[in-house]
Amino acid sequence: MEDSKQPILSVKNLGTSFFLREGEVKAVDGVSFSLNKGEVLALVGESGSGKTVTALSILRLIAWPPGKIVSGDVNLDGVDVFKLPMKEMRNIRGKGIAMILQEPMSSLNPSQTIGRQIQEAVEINQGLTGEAAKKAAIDMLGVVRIPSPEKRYYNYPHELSGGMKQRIMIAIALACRPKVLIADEPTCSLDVTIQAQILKLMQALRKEIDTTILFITSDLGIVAEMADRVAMMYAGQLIEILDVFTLFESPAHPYTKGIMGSIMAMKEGGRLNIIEGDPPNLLHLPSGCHFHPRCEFCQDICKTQEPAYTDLDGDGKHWVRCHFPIKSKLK
Amino acid sequence: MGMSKYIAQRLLFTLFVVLGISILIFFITHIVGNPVDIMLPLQATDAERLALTQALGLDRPILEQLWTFLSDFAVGDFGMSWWQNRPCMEVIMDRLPISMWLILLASIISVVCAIPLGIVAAYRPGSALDRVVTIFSTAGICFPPFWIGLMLMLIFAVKLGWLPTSGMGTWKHLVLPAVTISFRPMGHLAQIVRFEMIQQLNALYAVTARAKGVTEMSLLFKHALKNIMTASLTMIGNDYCKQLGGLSAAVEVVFGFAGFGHLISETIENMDFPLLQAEVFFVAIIVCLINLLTDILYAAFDPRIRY
Repeated sequence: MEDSKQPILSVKNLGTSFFLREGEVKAVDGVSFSLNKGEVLALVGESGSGKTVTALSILRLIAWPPGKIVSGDVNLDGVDVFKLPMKEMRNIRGKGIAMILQEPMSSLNPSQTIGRQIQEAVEINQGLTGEAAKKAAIDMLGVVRIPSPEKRYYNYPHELSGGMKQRIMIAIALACRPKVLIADEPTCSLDVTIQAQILKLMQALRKEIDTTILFITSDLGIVAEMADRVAMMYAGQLIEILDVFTLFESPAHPYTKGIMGSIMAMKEGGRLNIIEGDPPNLLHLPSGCHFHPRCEFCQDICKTQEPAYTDLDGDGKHWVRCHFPIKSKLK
Repeated sequence: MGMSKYIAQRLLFTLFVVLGISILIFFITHIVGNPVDIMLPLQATDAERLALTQALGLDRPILEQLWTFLSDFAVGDFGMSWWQNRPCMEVIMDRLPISMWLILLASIISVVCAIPLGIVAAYRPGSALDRVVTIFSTAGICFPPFWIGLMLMLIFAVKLGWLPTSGMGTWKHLVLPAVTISFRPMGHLAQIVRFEMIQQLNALYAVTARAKGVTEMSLLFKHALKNIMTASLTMIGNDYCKQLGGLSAAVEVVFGFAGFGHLISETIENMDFPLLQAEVFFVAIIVCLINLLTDILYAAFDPRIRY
């Protein structure tokens, strides 16, 4: 799964579980991927597949109880994140990895001005204080295209619209000057026109400030616009990693192919191809390959043995976790 | 709407509440029984009874009585206390201010102790420290105040001799009763602070703050503390009103403190209806004003609240 270049963030065998009364829920199970400097990796999967938990785990923001990181390593630019004492995590959070949460409505402190909240990120991560920090915060408002930033600095979150709040979230994350930016479905709770604005903004910013982005989404349209590479998640596991062109051309995992197939069918105006069945209950995962009960290519081995990662083309670019990866192209 | 307009509106509203309470007091005292039976000895003659009935105006139509009652209240005439034989207003003014100070001191003690206790408990829910705080705050709510008062008196007045056992006069006389009264509000407030703080620390904005590198300490004090203030203020104001409305009586009695709570209990013992009416009237006004004060203070802590 490694590229030849030295990755800026690499996650190896990450496992995070929630220990509930009913049993252990493996929300993230053996997830490995890496991000190269300047690239955008989209982490894609349906809700409940473990995308957000993966992101929070990287920042060690899983609250115990009930959640706990049970395995894995995260390496950020040479620093072994999981081996750091908790006190030093604040050097990773923010200037190492910053995160945009998916709920702009409730992700800002309601009793603090937005300017103050951006300024706090500036003060902690850029080492500025006083007027300089305030000026930097106002500049950040300009960067995320908030009109009349000097005035808006003094606004409280409830005085802004959802789209504006998401811009503030982006401003806070960027004010940290992070090496890696994690954007967790930054547009999912916004209406469609605002979604488009935020995406446009993120694309523009990507060019301006050349950050590495882990973009979490369940929207394949966004994947096509934003991502260089794609990591597909299913039931807490990464099932396929591939570049975005391959995703739309020849995905190899039956689940990925099923999803892409349904989009293609929609475009052609035909009947919607669906993946039969429901996503699995994480408390009672199917044996073997977790996808096997819904898979049209399921064989006996799929029911008993978990598949290992296969390097499909031998060049380390397309990995798939399937006993019988599909070789043919999408129609 | 401007703040001053809001306050004016609320004061007007307070007037209506007080009017309603007054009418309620009037009818309740009429339901409770005939004051003539209470005021006169059992062997009183019918002539004596009739004379008193007429003197008190109880033979007039009920609505006329209500009107007289309300118009007297409106000009601050609360009548004479049967028991003390002097104007009710005077009796209350002797006893109310000192109790307001006593309970204010108790509130300050409870706030100063409860907020740190609640925060410490919320910082690591389920920890040993959290359990200690929970036990302490529950005990503060459950233990009868007169018992706490007696124990404190035993330790700090009798054994150690630091403070007077009872009576009034110096600031030293306020300490033990105030500490005793503070236990229940402290317990309430510590539990509210703990609960609210846990909510705040699990809120999404806390994830945002941590993700930008904010330490747990600044998360607690720079972000969360302000957000728990509305709930805390509600509790503080509520407990103040309850104590002033008579809860402090037991403690005042234990410490021989001639305060308002003590007065209320004496008034009931003596079945002094005019005085009781006046006391209820004053409590109603104070409760309304304290509610108004908490509502105004909300706006200082929560920018979403604007009047």
